Amino acid sequence: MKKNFSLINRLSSKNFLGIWLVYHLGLIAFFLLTFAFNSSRIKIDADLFNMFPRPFEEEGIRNADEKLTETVGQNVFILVSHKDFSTAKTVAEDVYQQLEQSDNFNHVTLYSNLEDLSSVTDYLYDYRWNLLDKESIELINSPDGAYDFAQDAIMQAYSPFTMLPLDNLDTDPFMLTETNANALLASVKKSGTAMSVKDSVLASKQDDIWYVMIRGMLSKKGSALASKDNGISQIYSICTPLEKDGVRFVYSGTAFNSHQSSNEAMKEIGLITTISMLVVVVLLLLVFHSPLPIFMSVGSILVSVLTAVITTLAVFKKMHILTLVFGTSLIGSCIDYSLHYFTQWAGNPLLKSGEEIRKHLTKSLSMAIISSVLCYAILLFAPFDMLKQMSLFSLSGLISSFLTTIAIYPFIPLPKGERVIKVSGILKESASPFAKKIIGRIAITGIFAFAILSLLICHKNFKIKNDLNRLYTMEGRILEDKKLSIAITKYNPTGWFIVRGNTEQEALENEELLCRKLDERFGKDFGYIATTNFIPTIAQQKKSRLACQKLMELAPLQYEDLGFEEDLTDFLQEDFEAGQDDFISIEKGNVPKYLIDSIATAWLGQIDGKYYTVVMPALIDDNTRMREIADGQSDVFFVNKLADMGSDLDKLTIMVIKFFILAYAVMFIALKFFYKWKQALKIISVPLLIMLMTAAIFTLRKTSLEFFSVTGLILVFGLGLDYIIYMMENEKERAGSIKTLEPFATLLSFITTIISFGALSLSTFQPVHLMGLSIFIGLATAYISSMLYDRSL
Amino acid sequence: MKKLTFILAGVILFSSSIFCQSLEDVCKTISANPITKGEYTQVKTVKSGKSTRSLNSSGKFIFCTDGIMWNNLKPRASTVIIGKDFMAQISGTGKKTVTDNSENQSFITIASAVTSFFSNDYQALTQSFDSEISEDDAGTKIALTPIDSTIQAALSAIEIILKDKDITAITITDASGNTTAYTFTNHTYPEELSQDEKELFSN
Repeated sequence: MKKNFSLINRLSSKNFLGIWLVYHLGLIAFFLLTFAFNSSRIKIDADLFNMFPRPFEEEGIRNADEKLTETVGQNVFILVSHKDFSTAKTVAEDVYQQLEQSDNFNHVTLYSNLEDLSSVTDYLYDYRWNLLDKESIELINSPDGAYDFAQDAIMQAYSPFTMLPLDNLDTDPFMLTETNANALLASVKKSGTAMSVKDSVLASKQDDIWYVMIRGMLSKKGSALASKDNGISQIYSICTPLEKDGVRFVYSGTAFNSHQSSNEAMKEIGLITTISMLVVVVLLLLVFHSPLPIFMSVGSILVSVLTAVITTLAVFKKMHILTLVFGTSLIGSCIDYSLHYFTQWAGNPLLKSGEEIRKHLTKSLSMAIISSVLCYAILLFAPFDMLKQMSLFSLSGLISSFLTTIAIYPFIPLPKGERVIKVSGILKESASPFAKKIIGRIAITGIFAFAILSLLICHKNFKIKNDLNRLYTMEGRILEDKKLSIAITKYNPTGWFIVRGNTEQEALENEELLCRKLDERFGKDFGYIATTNFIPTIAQQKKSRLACQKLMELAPLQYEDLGFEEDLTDFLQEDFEAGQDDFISIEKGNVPKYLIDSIATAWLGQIDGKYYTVVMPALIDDNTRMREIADGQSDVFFVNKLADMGSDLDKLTIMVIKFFILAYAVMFIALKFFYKWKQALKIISVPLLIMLMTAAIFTLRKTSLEFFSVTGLILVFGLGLDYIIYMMENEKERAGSIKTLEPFATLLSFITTIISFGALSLSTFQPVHLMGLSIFIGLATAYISSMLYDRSL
Repeated sequence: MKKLTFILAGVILFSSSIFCQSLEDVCKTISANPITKGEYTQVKTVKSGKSTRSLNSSGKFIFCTDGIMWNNLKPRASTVIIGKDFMAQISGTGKKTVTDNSENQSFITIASAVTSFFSNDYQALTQSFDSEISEDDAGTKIALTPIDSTIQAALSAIEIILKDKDITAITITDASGNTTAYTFTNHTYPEELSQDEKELFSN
């Protein structure tokens, strides 16, 4: 292996520059080519849910769920409230006019178009033979049921009020269209919100306040929350000035939550980056008394972050905002390499050129990058896109930074005059107590004992548990609006059933069976959106026609009772027979647009060769019962994002721990190539200590170890090993070494890294906070243990 | 083109005598008798196909602050009750079907306008309808036109005729041009409803 390093050291500075150029230009070319041949747009994903793993193993179901989430996730609702209906409506019209033409929205709806309703009544009439509901069919099929149904129709005709006009009584003497309209109205009520049409708009009144609803669906442009002129920002900019004189807006839809969390994440990125950068600048100025290391280090960071971003976007076509948040922690890692270089550059007069500095640092920096790359590379195999994104982001960024250090920095001329870092002298005194073997051994043993004892004593608090409700908590106006919106609309779907079939009819039949079970279990008032609430299966339509066949036998009597001519019976029979093969089907395209719009969130259509439909309850009290129903029927899957993701994250957390163990084993084998048994065992004991300490502190804090903190630990594994590797390398007698410089560079690295990760732990965004906290504890343990270990091997 | 007309529910609630020329005075006069009972005949004129057909029926009615009830006796027995936020239908065999309209704003708008007639809430009525009053030999004619565009889509106009303190006729014209004409006779003004009648108005 030593031969490998000597081979590397034989490469000239031009060779290294070539490698740097090939790496960076290659990635830029890859990025440009990817997007030249790909029509999809670059997307920075800020949706909170998208950072979690998808809950289904099967790709088809997962795709169906994603399609639904995309549709539902882009829906926004604005309720305009005022005590006076006309004021609420006028303001709603004002907002609607401003949003209507915006390219931030696929559509914005305020008015309930009554012309659309006429197409529905035409449909109810044209397919009156096919649309009878189950209750009516049962009644007609019962003894004397057909007669009773016919008599009810006569009663309806003479009744003071009917839902529909009697224009078609000649051709609909059994008032089938009226029966179907009643059933449709019940379905609309069953699947809709508590809003109803008033003066052409959807409205509701509660506690003497009127609420008028505007509905919208964000376009691709409008849902790009990373851009400043997205749809949500536009809504706020239009509505906020109108919120006066008793007018109040209530916003609902996941896009508003994502907008808030995205904004917070953006602010935090700004804060973390600013703090990290400031600290780095101040530290480097204090240490080096020259702006050049600062300029170069910042340049290296920018290049590595840019490289990481284009690589991640080129491979994944999109990047989650959290990957970017996490990416800022790269600053801490990237600066390590720069610090090691510039410490030698500014403080080691024994090294006469940049090339000599590179040769001096090649092994320690290479070992550091190898250990980090191995750890991050293992995460590439995790079955979770965001982990893969983070892994690739870190890998590409770190390699860029490493290459900049060994390929670009040696071209920087050495400083003129005395090359000494005075502040590095502080380690001379502080190093002395640690140099004593006995103290180091006692301290290390103490840390191990503390961690193990804490875990033993508080073992009841030790949990690997993910609770997504804790990860994002709504507060302030968003929370207030959410509660108000649910109270007004009585609509808050938190889970849904995905139903599958090989054909449209099979999917609908499976859905019909599920709906029957839901009605039996929860009663008929249990509200849900389902395709079959509006479009019956062909099997159901055939049953309807069979029932109508029985009614047809009573047609002459019916006309007589109505006082109509009996010869109308022949026309009626003709009409009935003419439609015997004409069935309603979504694929056939004979469903009115109004109904298609009504089932927009329910009918997913064909995905990957199969058909999918969704049954979405308006409110869910008991997820367990829903899941039981789904489990009892094949091709039915119940989805509750929060609960599913929590349990899936539990599994994933354990998987990450297994990856950690794998990385541990791989790293130990790799270390054996470079170090003796005793050295390798010492190095590899550091990650174990990191794990134990982090687990112990989380246990003492009564905080469950969850996915993000465990992920943080894997990252510490990569970074934490660097400290002990630098220490080990420094202990070896080498030409050109100054004993205090490497520990000083390592201390600087530790401080800069711990500050950037420490800043992450201050985040209000729980995933970032927990990840930052575990990294903070882990890195501190790694550094302290590196200092304490007996290094005189 | 067919239009939804179910929201016609509750608009026919006018009785009492009137010699006044303003709707406000009409409301005041009607509210003096919070319960009105009597008999009615109903003629539905329907443009069905190429012909115009008439469906004739008759029965008893109740108008009160809780709503209205039509007890159809001929040619088929049936009862329709319009409450403040529900509509119920009872067939001749006693089968009762109730539609909850508590979330139907159009229904509630009309129902509240109707009940406000009997509680002398003139404002509620004018919020829902434009009105025009004229007089001829038949009596005082009150023409009401709905303001709400959703209601307009189902209901074009209501014409009420009052003579000698009694509502003698109401004609409702729907958006398709079909009419339902009522004539009222044998008015009585009881102090209160019987227990059975009260139950009909409680959903």
